[in-house]
Amino acid sequence: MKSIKKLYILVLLAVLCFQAAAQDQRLLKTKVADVLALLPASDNEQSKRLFRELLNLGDEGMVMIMNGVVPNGIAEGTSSRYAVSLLTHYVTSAEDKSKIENAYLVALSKATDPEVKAYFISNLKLVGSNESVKPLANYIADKDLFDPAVSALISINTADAKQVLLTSLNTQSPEIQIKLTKALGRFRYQPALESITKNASSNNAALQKASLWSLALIADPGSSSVLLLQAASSGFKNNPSEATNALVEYLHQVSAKGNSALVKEISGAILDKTTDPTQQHYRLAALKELAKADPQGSPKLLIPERSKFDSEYQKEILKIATPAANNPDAVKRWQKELKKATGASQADIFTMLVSSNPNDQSIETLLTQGISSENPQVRMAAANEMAKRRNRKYLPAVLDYLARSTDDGEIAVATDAVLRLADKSSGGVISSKIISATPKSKAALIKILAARRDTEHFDVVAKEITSTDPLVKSAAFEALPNVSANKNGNDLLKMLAAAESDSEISAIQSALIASIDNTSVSLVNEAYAKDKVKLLPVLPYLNDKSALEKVVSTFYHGNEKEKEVAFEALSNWQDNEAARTLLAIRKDAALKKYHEAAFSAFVAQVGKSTWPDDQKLLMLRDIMPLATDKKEKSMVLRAAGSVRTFLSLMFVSKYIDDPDASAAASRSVMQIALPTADAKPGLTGLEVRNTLQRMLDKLTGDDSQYERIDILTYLEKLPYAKGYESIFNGKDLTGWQGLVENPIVRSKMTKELLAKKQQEANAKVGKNWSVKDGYIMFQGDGANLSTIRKYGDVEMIVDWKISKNGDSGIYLRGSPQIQIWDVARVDAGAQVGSGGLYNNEKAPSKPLKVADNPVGEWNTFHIKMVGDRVTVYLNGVLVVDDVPMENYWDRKLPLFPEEAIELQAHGTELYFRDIYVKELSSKPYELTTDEKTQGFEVLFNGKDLNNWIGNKTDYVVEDNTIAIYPTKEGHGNLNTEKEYSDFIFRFDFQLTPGANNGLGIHAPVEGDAAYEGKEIQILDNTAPVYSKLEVWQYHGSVYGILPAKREFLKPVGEWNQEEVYVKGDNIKVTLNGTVIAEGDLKKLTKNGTLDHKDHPGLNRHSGHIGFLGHGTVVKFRNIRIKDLTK
Amino acid sequence: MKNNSSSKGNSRRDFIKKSVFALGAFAIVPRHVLGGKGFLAPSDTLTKAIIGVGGMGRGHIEYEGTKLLAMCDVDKVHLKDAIALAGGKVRGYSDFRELLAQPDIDIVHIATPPHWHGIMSVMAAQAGKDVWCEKPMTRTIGEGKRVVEAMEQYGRMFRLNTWFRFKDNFYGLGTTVKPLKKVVDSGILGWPLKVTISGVTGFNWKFYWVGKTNLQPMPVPSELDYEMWLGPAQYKPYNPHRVHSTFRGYWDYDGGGLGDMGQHYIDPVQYILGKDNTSPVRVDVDSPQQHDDAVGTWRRIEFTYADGCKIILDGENKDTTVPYIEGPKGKIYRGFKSDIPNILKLVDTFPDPEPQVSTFSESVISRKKFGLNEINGHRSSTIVNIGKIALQLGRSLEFDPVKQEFINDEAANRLINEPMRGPWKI
Repeated sequence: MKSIKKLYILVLLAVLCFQAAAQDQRLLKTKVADVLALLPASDNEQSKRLFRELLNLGDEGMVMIMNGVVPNGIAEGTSSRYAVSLLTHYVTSAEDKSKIENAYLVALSKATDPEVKAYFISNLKLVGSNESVKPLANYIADKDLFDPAVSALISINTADAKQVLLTSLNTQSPEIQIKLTKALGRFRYQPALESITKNASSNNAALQKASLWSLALIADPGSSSVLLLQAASSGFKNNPSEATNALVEYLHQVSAKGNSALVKEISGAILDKTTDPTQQHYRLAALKELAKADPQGSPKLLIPERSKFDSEYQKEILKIATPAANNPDAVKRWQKELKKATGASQADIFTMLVSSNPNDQSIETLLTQGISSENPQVRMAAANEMAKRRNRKYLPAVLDYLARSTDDGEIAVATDAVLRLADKSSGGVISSKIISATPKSKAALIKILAARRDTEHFDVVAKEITSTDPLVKSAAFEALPNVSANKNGNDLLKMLAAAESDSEISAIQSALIASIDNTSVSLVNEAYAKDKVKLLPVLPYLNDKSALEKVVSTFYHGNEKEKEVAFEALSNWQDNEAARTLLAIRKDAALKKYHEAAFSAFVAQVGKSTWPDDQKLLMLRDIMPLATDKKEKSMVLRAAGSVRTFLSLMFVSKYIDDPDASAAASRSVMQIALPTADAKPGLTGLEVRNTLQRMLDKLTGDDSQYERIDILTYLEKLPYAKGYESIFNGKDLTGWQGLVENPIVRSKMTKELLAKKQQEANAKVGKNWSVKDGYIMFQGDGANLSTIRKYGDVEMIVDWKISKNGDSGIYLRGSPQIQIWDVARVDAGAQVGSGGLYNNEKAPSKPLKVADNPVGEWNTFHIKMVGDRVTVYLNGVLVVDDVPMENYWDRKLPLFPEEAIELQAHGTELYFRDIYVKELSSKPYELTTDEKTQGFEVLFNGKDLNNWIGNKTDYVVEDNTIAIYPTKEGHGNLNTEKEYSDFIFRFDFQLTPGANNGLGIHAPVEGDAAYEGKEIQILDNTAPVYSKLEVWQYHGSVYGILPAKREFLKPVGEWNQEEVYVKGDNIKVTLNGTVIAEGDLKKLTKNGTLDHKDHPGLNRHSGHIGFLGHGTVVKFRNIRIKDLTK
Repeated sequence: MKNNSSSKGNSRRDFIKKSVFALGAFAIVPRHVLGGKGFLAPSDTLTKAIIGVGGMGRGHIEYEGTKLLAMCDVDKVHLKDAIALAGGKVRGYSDFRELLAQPDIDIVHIATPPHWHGIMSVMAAQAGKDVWCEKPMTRTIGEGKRVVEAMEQYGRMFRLNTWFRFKDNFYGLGTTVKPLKKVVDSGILGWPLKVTISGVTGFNWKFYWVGKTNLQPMPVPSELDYEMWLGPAQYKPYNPHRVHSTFRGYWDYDGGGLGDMGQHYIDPVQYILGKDNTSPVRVDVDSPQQHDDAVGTWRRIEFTYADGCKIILDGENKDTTVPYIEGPKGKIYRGFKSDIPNILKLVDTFPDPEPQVSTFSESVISRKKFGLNEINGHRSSTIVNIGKIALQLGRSLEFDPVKQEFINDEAANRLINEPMRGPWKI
């Protein structure tokens, strides 16, 4: 057993070594390039992984990375700097840190460019340890690098670092000395005392200043004499050495260390010498530290100061007093002061005492006394302090104060205090004060009820609208809307009937509006019968079907005054019901006076309406031709900007080049097409791409340069999908033709007969179908208009308009039809609405809802058809939900998989515009007939990874492609299940910038396919990181063996087609139609390989085909193979 | 490309020449110390000066309550344009230290790029000026601490220039912050709370503030004092993308969309959560690797407070149904929608929060701290700065809100204080 086990381990070891050796055969250079290509990392996990990979490159690899750092401004250095940044920022363990530090020190010593040197020094600032101190010390005398070097030493912060700074202090120029002194001061580096003290009396004022300040920070007790001396020599005033500032800082530091004896000594000295008003702040600083050092003595010290200088000084004294004013003795002394003081000063002492003793019982008494004080400033301070305590027990006192106050300032303070103290349950107490309050206070109390939306106390407020005091009366009216609830409707209507002044009427109207709900309808209508004008403004809020009729009829039939008020009501309408009336007013030449207001009210109401997007857009398009100026055009375009549909984009994009509307149009294009801030996705497709490209340089305004970045970023990510294509060019009927019979009849015709019939049909088209002003029009009695092309699964958009008794439809797959008709044709059953699958017998034929716009208005169909299933939205409303369409021409047959789209003619006048089709490729991938006959097989069906083995977590199926995402595991291979020897392998691939993958052939499942088999490179060799590749590394080359031509890749992001032909030792690679590599591998390697590596795979002639991941995003599709051995 | 090589060479020589910057002695003369006209009299008109009159600074010309006396810019063209915009009758300076020495100026508006905010605030305070400073408050946590100290030390008033905590509709919420504060204070949502700042809740992270890697060194235009523009930031060769309207894309001066909008969006949240005197204890990030010069984008940054409250910055808008504020008992969504019925009506009956001093002149005259001052401003700026450091390091960090240091992460702590170049210190 034992020996077997041993053997097993030996074998295992051998296998592992072999694999490791194979891995190692990748050049270090390539490994470095591979890691660099992935930088910058896309997330924290990848960062960590790449950090590890960088470290694993070892010393030699790190040197290569460091060598890549070139002076800033040269693009090749970017990824190396990312690598350095990764090393610097992600390192946490001491062991790794020291490896990295060493690498930087080597790089620093080798670098010649000062910017590069500075770069490594600044990285050492973050990772440097004591090891770096010596090397960095060399740069202190270097005029260019002194600054970063000192910064790095400061960060390194070891005893040696400080020592180095100190040693240099004595040898450098004053300029450098200043910086070093500051650093030593910041370190509070005791050993530097002597040297710094020497400089404290320097003739160089800047050096002296820095030295004094550093002494202050070090705060050695021994420095007091120097600092005092220098301050004294400046007369305790400002001078260039700022000695007094330093002394004050010293005092602060000493105090923080708790050396109260020294604090007393220095403060005493300062207080003695600072009696002049210009020295107030030094005095304050001294007092502050003294009070801190001796809290007991603080009142005695500070009370006399209260008579000095100005009121600002005195306020500062109180601030200093606050922390120590909380013991009984201090309270006693300050209370005495409080009694003596008057005016604002008394209030200041009051506030100080209260805030110093927040939890003291006596404070409650003090507050209660304060709010009844004879000094109004104390009263206000007391109210404010009560509010600050957020304790509801103070509410009665504050309310009392409010009720008895007469001064505006006091009332304001009291009001504020009430609002801060009152909670949900306080309404009763507040309103009870109203009766007895002075008029001014009464008004304030009413305002408080309003601010609290206290609908419980409507009556209290309502009573006051009859007050004889104008202040109270107007407060009550103003408060009314805020305190009204539904139950008050009756009272309000009575008030309204009695009210006379305009302001009162409008206040009551607002209150009514606030109180309205469903139960108000009959009351309001009753009142309306008595007084139209007073009630009209309320109607827009009434939610009553008859309300609009009332307003419209008053507008058209009322007197001039009523007309005005009715129009105002229409403009205020709360839903979209009034919009069409406003449009009619705008269209009526006789109502010119209302045109402008009607236009903007219409656009606003459409904008905020609940209509579906498609309907909103139709309405906006309807009014657009009526816009008379830039303002109105822009208004419509802005509103369309929030309709985020493809049609809306097509609409606004038409105005990009209109000088009047360009700005608004461009902004709206952006809003519609780009993803929103709250993550609604952007629009896709070729038209969208082109539109965005077209408006890029039309954007103006402060943020436009950034918006351009947003657009470009989006365009970069936008997949190259066709999306919606216009199938009607707006000018003529290109792409359309006359209809010949039906698909079944056509299929039985000979080619010649069909051509002849087609010619006849086309000749008829011109008689009935025409193009005008961007739409297709039908008049007369001709036949359907049909697309020349056939369509299978599609999404389709089409706008249509019919006239009275109109009848039409959209044929899909050459079959009737999605119905269009005038809903008034009840005899034909048209009341069900348009959009239904009219000819269905088994499945539903009627639409789910009537969503037609009135005859003469445009409608929008949004149709989706997959297989035989049809979904239809009419004007944004779902009318057909995934219903199969039956084959009308032969009900036994399934629907045709592909046929023309037709516009049905039925003898009435018809209009169509904006016809767009998006072809859906929801079918599994299928070979072309040619390939099928040649014997190709599908390897990837677009749906799953059957036929494939290997890493199925990184390789996923997405949008009919195989995608590899490095965010998961990075490296990984996906191999065909079967093995192949001679074959033609065809596939499409899409690269991302810097993408790196490979196609393994004749490969084993394990081991490095590039050596154990052969690897055909799949690589974005246009990326800057790959600028220095060997020819045998280019895309399409057989790695290390056969070079490829470089220039035939399509731009990154587009799909490439590639064919790999393998027969024996012969390989031929064709990219996008061009042979880029071809050769006999045996012959080519007669004298060794190009990369001078051993390629055992050259002798393998069979194996798996696989994608070899190198950690970047790549997509593949349409993968098929022809096995040449069969 | 080729003919740029000579200018590149020059720039590198510039690098050698200019990396050490000589500076004359400068005497600080605090206006407070000198006393003078109307220092406290409310009847007097307060006076102001603006440092930095590029895009942002010009907005300050119109700010209320004060008379503009002087402006300063290191770009002569900017200065000239701004003076013309202000009607011509203001004094212009190219060195802000000269401006600070003017005794007739009460308030200094700092509208430079953020790498100057700390130094200028401290120096303005030393000079006895009150300070109106643009957001973000400071570029590093260390500078913010120093500003807090200096305002205290010199007794100056400070306002940070974002305002949602006391006025204006707060982006996607469609209301001011006050009702939100009332709801949170009332306890109706429960505790702890999670606030998500994303496009879904109405906040757009401006990811276009990204830097470019590898800027070509270019000759400095004659109107610009680039040396002074850089100031305390480490020397890097000039390129127009580095300065003026695009500087936010570089870590040396700001922090991209997070630096630009972060404090704008986060400060009100800090206020709503009542965290004005503390900081988060943890930050987690999800982002692509950051370049060490150019700021990139990120996907998610999550801050956690000691009591479990969280602020989440969602750069991807992944969760499309996420509420703005989420508590165990209730949620508030964009547009002040809520799962609590009648929330808007309910809000009115809750007690009002403490009023805030919301005009700076009032603060300057009364010496009462402005609603958004150096202390709470520093705390919200710290959130942004913690986030920036976590982004750069690509890992989760633990933070001590009292010491204002990271726990067990030396590299992170080395980023708290960016050493300053040449003569600058704070």
